[in-house]
Amino acid sequence: MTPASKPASGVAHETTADAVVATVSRFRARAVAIMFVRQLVMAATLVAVVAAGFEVTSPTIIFGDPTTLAFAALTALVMAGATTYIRRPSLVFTGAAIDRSLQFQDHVVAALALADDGSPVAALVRRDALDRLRKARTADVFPVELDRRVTASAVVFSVALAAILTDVTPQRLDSPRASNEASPFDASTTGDAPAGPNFGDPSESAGVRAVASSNTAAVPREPTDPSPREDTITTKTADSSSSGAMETPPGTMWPANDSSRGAGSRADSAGAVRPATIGGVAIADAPGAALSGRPSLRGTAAGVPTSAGGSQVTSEESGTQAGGVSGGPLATNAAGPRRFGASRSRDASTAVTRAQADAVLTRDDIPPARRRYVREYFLRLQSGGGKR
Amino acid sequence: VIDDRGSSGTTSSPAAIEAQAAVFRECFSHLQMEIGKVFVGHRALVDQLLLCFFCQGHGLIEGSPGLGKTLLVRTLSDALNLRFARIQCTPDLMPADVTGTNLLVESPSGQREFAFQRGPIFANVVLADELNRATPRTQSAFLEAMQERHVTVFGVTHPLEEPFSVFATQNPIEMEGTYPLPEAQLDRFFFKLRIAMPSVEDLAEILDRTTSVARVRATPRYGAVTVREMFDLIKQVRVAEPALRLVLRLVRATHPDVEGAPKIVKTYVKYGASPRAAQSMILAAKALALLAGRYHVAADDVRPVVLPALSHRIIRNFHGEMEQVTNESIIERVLDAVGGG
Repeated sequence: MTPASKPASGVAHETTADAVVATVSRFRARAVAIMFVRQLVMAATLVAVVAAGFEVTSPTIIFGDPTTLAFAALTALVMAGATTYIRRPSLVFTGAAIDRSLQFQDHVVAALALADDGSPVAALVRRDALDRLRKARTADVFPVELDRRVTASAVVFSVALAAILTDVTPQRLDSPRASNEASPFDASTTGDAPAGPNFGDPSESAGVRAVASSNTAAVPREPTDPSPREDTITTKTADSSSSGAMETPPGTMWPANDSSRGAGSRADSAGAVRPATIGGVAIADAPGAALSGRPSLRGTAAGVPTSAGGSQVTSEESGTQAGGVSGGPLATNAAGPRRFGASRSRDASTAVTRAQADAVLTRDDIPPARRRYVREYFLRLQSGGGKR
Repeated sequence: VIDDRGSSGTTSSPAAIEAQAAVFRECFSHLQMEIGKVFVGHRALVDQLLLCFFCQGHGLIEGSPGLGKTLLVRTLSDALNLRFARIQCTPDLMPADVTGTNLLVESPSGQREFAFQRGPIFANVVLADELNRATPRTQSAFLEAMQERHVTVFGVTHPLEEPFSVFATQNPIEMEGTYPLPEAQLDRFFFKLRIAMPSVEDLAEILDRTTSVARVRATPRYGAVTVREMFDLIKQVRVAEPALRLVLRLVRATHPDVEGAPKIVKTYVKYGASPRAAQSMILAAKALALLAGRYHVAADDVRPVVLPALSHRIIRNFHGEMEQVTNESIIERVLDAVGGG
């Protein structure tokens, strides 16, 4: 018995009352911490399940990159924190839990109820409660244990996380990110992408993000293929030679090793108009836009909407980009990225695309070896022959 | 008339309270031992009787003849050195026989005047033997004394000395020629205590004690002042929230018209327990808490006193009477329903 709790010593009642409240608060802090962990597991499971659902059902939303994962984790943290705050136990509730767990016969609850009572009996009640509380361990009252609910949530969370991190969508099984290849039509590949969050480029998570800054550029070049074909377009980064040439069979306009793009199924299945870039030109909603294959919200209409010539030449910092036509970073897109599912007039988009095509064709900065390819491509677009 | 109780009232020092609590435990233990010398067996019954007495309640003792009801109450009075009175209730017993009356007496100066002659109710421990044999009019005389702790004769109120407890007995077998106690009077009894037949060992001990030469008597100790102080101490004990909620739920669950009452209550109970039942349970639980060394009532203190506090306060309906559903079985279901079992 401490001097502060000796009733006969005439110690102020507030002393024992404060001590009881402080001790119970310590127990409550542990209870809140455990509750937060439990809620975090629940919230993470919920977020992961939702994300996995989007990942599987909606090809335009990909959660594989670290930024998205961080956002999801933050969401789970906020949810868990909010839920814990709302459901945090009161002191009396904590006291009841202590009494129940340690069989204190309502000592703590009574002491808390009499915290403001100045009677001698209340002092005795607080003293007795304090004596018991000082011998108790917080872990005895609120042990860290995995109950059935948390365990089930953890299992569900693991499955959902696996579904996110491992591409379970059939059309993406052989996507370029898996083969460490970048799409020639991707905004990030062509240097259009800023070094910000890229919700549409799963290649970032695979560590193969091709271009992320102004010192990179999409350079149409001669194919490294020993059997050169005129209708082959290759891209590479300025600082990386890892991006190999991607061949496109004549007439198909698709890299032969990307079956998902050839099928064009992702845009078709989602019903979404897919942004695409080619040679630095952002092509959105064009009949052949889906041919670009790579989902890139950031690149959506990046180079499309406002420039009179239909093409946007990047500023000095991106002036090194070969091809001369750039979609520009997202910051230059006045319209901003399109939301998933948002529709746009197909005719208007096609008109813009044609204007861009004309602008590209009239310019003389396309290598001769690529002119035919580009021409055929845009003619195909103009004729509406793109795969939708 | 002012009653000088001689009570110290509430104690202001924690140390004094602790000392009084120690005295209470010692006194209770002393009474258990002294009563045990005379009254064989029935330890739980003795404890309930002592709880009832220290809480200044009245007890209704029910049992077959010859089980020691009168002996039990008398021994309690002897052990505490209190004034004891026994009233054998019969149909011709008049209220004045209980409360007392004004008699014309002659003063030393030769003048004749009315003087109040106190009845047997003016005692610390009153045994009303076979109370259900008294007429309702006489029973009502007990009613006022038990509840108000005073009697009124010819318009003059006479307070009763404290401690004051009435222990009434009734024989559940011979119901012919009796006047069953009305619900209002039953409600005034703190506890209903039931004396069962003693076990074989206890019966052998009873025979040995009562048929031999040696006569054992309880050693008187303490007194009325101590009992009053103990009652004041008991009232200072606090009630924790869980215990209070348990009592409230228990009382409400005995009412058939309350939502959430057990099915057995809705089917067989006509009237449930009154607020006096809750008062009885809380007071008795406070005494139990003190005996356990606590200064607050826990839910564990309530459970042992539920049955004696509720068993005479639940009035069964026609179906309950016909199907011979006992109040004890109803209370057990109620305890299970409210989580107090």
